[in-house]
Amino acid sequence: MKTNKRKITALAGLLALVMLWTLAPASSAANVAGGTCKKVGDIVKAGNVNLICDRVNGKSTYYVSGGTLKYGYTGGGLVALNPNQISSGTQKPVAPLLFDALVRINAKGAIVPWLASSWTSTTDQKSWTLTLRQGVKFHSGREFTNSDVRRNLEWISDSANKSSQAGEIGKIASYVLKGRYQITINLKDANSQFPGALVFIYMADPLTLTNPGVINGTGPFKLSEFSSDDHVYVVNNRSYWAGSSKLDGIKVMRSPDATSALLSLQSGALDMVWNIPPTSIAQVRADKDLDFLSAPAFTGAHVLMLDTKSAPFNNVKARQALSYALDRETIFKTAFGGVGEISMTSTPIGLKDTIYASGMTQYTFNLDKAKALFAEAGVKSGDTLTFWTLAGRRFEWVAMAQILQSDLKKIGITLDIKPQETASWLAKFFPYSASAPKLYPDTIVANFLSPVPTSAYQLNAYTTGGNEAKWDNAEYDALMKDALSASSAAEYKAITGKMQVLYNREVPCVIPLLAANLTAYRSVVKGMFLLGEGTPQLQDAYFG
Amino acid sequence: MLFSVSVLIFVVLRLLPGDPVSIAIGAGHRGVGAEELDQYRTESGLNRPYSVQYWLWLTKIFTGDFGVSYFSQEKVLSMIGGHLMPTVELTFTALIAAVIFAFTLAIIGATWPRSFADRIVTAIASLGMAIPTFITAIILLLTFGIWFPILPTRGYMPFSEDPIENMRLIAMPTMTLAFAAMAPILRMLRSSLGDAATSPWTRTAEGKGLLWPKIVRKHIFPNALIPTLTVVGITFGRMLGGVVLIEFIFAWPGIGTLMVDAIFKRDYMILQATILFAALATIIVNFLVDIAYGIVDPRLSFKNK
Repeated sequence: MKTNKRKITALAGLLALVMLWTLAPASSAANVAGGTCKKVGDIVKAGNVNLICDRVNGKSTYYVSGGTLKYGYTGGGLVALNPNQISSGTQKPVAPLLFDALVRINAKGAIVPWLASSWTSTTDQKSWTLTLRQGVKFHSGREFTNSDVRRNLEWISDSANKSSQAGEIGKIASYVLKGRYQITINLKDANSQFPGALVFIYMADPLTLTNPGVINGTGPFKLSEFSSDDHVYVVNNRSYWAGSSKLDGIKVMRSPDATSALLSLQSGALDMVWNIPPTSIAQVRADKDLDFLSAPAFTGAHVLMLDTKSAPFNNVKARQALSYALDRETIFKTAFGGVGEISMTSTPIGLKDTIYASGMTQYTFNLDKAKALFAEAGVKSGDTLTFWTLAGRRFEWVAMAQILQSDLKKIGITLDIKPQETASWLAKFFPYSASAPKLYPDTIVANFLSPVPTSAYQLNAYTTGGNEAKWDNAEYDALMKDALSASSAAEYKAITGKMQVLYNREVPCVIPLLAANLTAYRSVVKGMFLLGEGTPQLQDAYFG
Repeated sequence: MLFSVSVLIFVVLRLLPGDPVSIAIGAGHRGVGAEELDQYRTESGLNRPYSVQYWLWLTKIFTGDFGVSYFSQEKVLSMIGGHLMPTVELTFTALIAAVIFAFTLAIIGATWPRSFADRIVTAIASLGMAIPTFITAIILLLTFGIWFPILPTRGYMPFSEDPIENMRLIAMPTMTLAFAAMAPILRMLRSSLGDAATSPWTRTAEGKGLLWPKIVRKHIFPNALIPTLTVVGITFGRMLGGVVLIEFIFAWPGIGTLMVDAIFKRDYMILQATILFAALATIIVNFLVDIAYGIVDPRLSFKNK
């Protein structure tokens, strides 16, 4: 009997030990490979320094290990890696890891040369000559040349490929290739801001564009593993032409639920999380180890889209009334946690932008003015408007709607808030059709617009055919055309100033604030920055 | 049954506003209008009559072709294959854990009725029923991920690649799912054991001088198990629904996540296939429960009918 008891006690003890071992955090010692490099990615210890094994030009080489950045994204949408067919914002931060563009936006928000080392244009702004950097190689080892530029631009321009970037570059008439490193792009329409159009145009191996299985770019990282809408692992491209990254690699991992993603960030399971809701701002601020990525200027716009083709918002006075009824300061502080840039003028251009037009009408919160203007537009006390927003995400829109609802109630107007899942939300106003417009009367639709983060694209989003508010203003369109033909910065500023005044008076979409999708990160990660519309730039990240 | 499910899901999905083409192309892309979307719909076969679409889908299923995702262009069957194992692993681990804990606690409660231990058991069952899974998950994440960081908070590792990491990763999702699944099983078994313990045949067995352990094993337990098995079968069906949320919270790349994505994106092919598989799994489990009745109580065996 005693022997049995001892056996049971010993067995229980052994089980407890196994359980403790199982639950204990994985030891880094498990990765130490005793000094011999068995495979790429193996870590070996040399004194106090960790070395990582990599293979360059067929030879095993050791580098000082910089660690692997664990990047989480909420929501979903990372279903493909073709950088010129982006159907979701989640694809945007991944593209510059694997691919380079001809130009790049730096941490100060300026457009700088990248794969194109310089450019010139003809005085009519229709012909652009780009000189390419020499010695740039794809991950496959093949040299990047002007024919790659041409093949990428041709692929994007081909409507059969449904490239999301087709609208950015506009129509191209022809290409002239000179040698291997110079290309002249002849545009059908003048575009003085053409380099800005190239920010999100990535140079992929033409094979990548036609075969999703081949991911070959010139970027600072190479593809290691990809599972659709689950994870992407990229590893350091040690032969990167601009100097290799300090990181061993980046693991882009999906964390669908924002609350648990944030907890994973706090626990260290993730180093950064993209697209967290503003409701989490306080939680991030309370943790001294966490911070938010910030942009030099915000260019993404939270907009309230109004149907300019049906009542009551086909009347400019109703649109102006809504602008006055928005308590922007309360909305900015309460719904958006004070992150972003409050817009008192309802234009898509931020205060920090050099082209920002001064002297525009300020839509300061004024319910009396709102009531009077609504009455002139036929919206009376007792009427009901609908606020169309998303369910389960974009909680800031619902909070904004509730503030507006409470204010409109004071002037007798009821606001019916209707959160919808994505497809139903989208079906209300999309697609744009000039011949058979989709009408959404009495409705305010919340949306987030994130065009290329340059002023030309922020303004271009509201030309005819470019917005689901269906605003078609010939004067605005003509000014846009003039702005793109401007021969100097001063002329461009003058014309875009007129556009802003016009937009602000007509308010096809009310823009209470400019902001970006929030990215929270652990303070130990350095070297990242945010583009104005919210895309994190991780290429130069490192652990500090 | 499966045919009805296939018709129902096909019809319901198409009654919802929006379609995969408009989601894939998305708003705000200049130059994409109604005409372009219609062209894409035609290319994808979405402009055909619903009856034709359904017939094509149904006939292809019999050849093992469940179609391709409108978004990733991957074959649906291979996508389900990639997501199936994590879900199967999580669901069965949680079901086994739920059954083990429910049985243990129910026996404790039944052995010492109206004792302090019995009250604790009742409280656990009530908590399991009352606390939403999401709250349980957050409590566990805070406890084992932040305050006492001994378990990873997210992700999945196949057992074949790293068994230890697999067990560490599955611990919290399993606890969350099992806690919710355990409650109805525990309540049913506890009350069935109580009923059986006070039944006339138990008193007769005691009167005949049988030892209590033998009475429990031969009389009380088999009788209490039959209604409990029914609850286990129903619980499994509920778990398939509950696992969706758990997978979302713990970034567990299973069928649930795939299904939720497909709903948001109106990826018809994935949704139709996953719901069909879920229905099939429920049918199989209920069939296994029916077989188990006969094993637990031979009087219910088909052989005796």
